Amino acid sequence: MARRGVFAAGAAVALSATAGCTVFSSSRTTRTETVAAPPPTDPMDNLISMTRLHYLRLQAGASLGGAAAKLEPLAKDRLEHLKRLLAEQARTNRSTPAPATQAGQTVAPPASAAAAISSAVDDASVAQVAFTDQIANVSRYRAALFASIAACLATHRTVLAPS
Amino acid sequence: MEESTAVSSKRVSRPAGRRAQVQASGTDTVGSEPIGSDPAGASGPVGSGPVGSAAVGSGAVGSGAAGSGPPGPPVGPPEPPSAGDAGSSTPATESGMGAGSGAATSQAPPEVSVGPQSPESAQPMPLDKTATTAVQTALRTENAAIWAYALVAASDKDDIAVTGSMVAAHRVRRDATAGLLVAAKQEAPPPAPAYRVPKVSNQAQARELAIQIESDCAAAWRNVVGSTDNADLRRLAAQVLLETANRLVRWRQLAKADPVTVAFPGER
Repeated sequence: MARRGVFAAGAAVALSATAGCTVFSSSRTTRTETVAAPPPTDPMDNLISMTRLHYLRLQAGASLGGAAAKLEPLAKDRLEHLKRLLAEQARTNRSTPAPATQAGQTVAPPASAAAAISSAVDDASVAQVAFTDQIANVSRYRAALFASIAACLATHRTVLAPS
Repeated sequence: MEESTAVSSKRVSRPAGRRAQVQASGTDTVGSEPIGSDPAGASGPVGSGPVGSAAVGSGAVGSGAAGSGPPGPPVGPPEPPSAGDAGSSTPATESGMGAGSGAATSQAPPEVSVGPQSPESAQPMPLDKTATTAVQTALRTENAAIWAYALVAASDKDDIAVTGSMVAAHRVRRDATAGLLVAAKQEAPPPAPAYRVPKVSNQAQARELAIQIESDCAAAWRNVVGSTDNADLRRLAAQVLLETANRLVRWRQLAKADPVTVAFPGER
């Protein structure tokens, strides 16, 4: 009986030492301080800015005429996207939607129609990825909206692809 | 509502106990639920916004032709002449239908890919009630699309290869969607014997019908995206919506529609 007690006490001491508990320790109690994470960034801001830029680029490209004239209906699509995104942002912020277009907002037109079309394809690809990436992270309504916009952008690439 | 009810009484025979799959001609939509019968579109945030208004069955394309005259549905054989068979034996000429990127490639093979998110290859996806209803509606729409494409093929001989490849894509999607439901231990609604569609007697009408078919499918899959919080299901439905939108634009190009693109595919 005594031997069992000695063994049990030894085992307890060994276990405590393994766990880092000792009555002779002088270290203070460990405190974990968690820094509050910054508030999540609303993806709408980035998506709206990107859509506005792409719309302006499409408009600038369409102004070249010729083969770039087919960018005009695509610019209208992007403008619709921009309006819807602004409306959605205003809905969640309980504010008035910002205007989609403002006087003086322009970008320099591309050097040629081919460059404009190439730029439009690149922009559509980038935007499609950006909207698709957010589908899993947002509310149901926004997910459906983003999926629809991403699908539209895919069709833009199809329309602009060389036949 | 009256028109829908009246036309619903003209439904062709269908198995008892099934939900309505034969669309009222007054709504001018191919093979989907009657208006207002889709719980997925009427609940949650989706139903309160534009997505809910895009519920399948509100048919926007060719609404003028649908309600006029007697219904011209081929109510004959349960499975009309298969356009998919015709398409499978002819080279595909459509472009931009690739699953995934949606980019056009003129030498692309017939579109039969279901993408990397194929439900068959994935783990069973848990589906809540709302998502299940939305996916079942999408499956019904795919069934209707396969059926209706046979009419397109019959009246549009010039685009037989395009039609065939698109039917093949819808068949693959239908099977994948049914597999998704079965894996989730949910009912996969079987196809209806026939569907009520607008009269199709020439190439222009056939292309209009094809546009309507793809519009319905886009609306159905957009509804799936907005009916679930499951990220995998959202991605899958978004991918299908993308493919459907490309098919829609392809038909709008053939029909010389202006504009060719649609700002919000699947929304009505």
